[in-house]
Amino acid sequence: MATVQDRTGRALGQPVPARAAQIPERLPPRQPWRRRALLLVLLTGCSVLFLVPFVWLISASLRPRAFVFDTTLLPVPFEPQNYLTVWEAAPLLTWLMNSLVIGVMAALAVTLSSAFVAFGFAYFRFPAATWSSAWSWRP
Amino acid sequence: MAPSATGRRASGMSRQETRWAWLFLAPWVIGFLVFTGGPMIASLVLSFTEYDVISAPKFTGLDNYRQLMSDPAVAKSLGNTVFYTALHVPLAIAVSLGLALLLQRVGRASGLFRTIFYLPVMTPAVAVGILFLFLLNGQTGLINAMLALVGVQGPNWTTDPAWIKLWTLGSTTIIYLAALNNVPRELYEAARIEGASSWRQFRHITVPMISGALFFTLIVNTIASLQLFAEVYTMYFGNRATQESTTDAALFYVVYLFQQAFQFLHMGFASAMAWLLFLIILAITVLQVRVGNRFVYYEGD
Repeated sequence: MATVQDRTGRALGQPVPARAAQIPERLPPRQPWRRRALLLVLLTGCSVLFLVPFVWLISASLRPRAFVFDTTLLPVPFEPQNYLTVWEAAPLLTWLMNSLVIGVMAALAVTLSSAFVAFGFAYFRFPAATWSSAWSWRP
Repeated sequence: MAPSATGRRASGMSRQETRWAWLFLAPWVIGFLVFTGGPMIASLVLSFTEYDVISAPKFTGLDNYRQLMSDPAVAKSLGNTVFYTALHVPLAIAVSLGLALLLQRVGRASGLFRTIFYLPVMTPAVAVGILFLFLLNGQTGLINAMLALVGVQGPNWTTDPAWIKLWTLGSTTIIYLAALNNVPRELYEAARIEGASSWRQFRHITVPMISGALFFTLIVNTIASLQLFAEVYTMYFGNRATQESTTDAALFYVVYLFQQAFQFLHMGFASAMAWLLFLIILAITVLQVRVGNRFVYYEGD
């Protein structure tokens, strides 16, 4: 039986030559924790920008009507009854069911059919494939 | 694939494979014919008629197209839309790429941030429009209030969907993140051994390796921007009050098309508008593909 070899033709289990082992160790970026901290700060900053509209929206939903347009992020005066009122004022359950039915059916149909169709496109590789997919996709 | 015994059998097999491939494509072909191709032909026919939905369409030749050329609102809305697209698309690509680079670098923690950046995409476009109508209000909006806190006099934000849509660029970011994660590590290792700086690694490894994703997002974002409707409509034309206070400055092409079709019932004119936009988008896409193919690197080729 021949010895098992890796791609470079070296027998497995043999020690790796010293030079090759050294190269990765010189590579790690300098001051990794400082870079990581900077990254986290940047990402947190961006996240705050993305979240502010949501926070405002949620807090607006917890304020009485007259205070909806307030420029505060805090729900004062606090009026959580809004969430009860809306159920009484509108047939929310029906609307939710409508959305749910359409959503589930669309997700299933699109996922299944896309998997099939992607295979077809991959098989033919005709140039129109890129365009047709670009035209039917919404970012 | 295993080599087949005879050439005859191989061609039979490939013919069968082709048939299967067509079968797999069938949902798209049928969907395209019924939901895209059919209505497109119908609208092309309608674009040569005068049609108000109630009475039968009346053939008027090129009248709609002549009107299209002379209507100042068409030119105005098209100008607004193109300006917005030219502003928004590069901005969206740059910001998305920046976010994706940050996400990729941060490693394990990226899941949380990815979710946060994607949240706005899951918010219905109509809700986004209304939300930003409140936030961007010049007098009472939160954004100007926050700017005031840091001593900046916020503008009256009349027509800036470019900023709103920057909130919903999560999809593009996710595409870039996937592309970035697909770039082989060895390329960066090799470049670092050669002493390449971060910028040169980005310019000569990252950008070429994700050029396919950049190109795809360029095309789909351009098309989506030119077709922008829901956010603008809900912000400026959603109810009588906003509609009356809104000037032509906020008129977008598809919004004007919608008004012509469903408010004034000029279906023929609206169809002509739709075809003009289609031809414009087609021309831009063809141009982008022509130019893009020179710069895009496809792994499979």
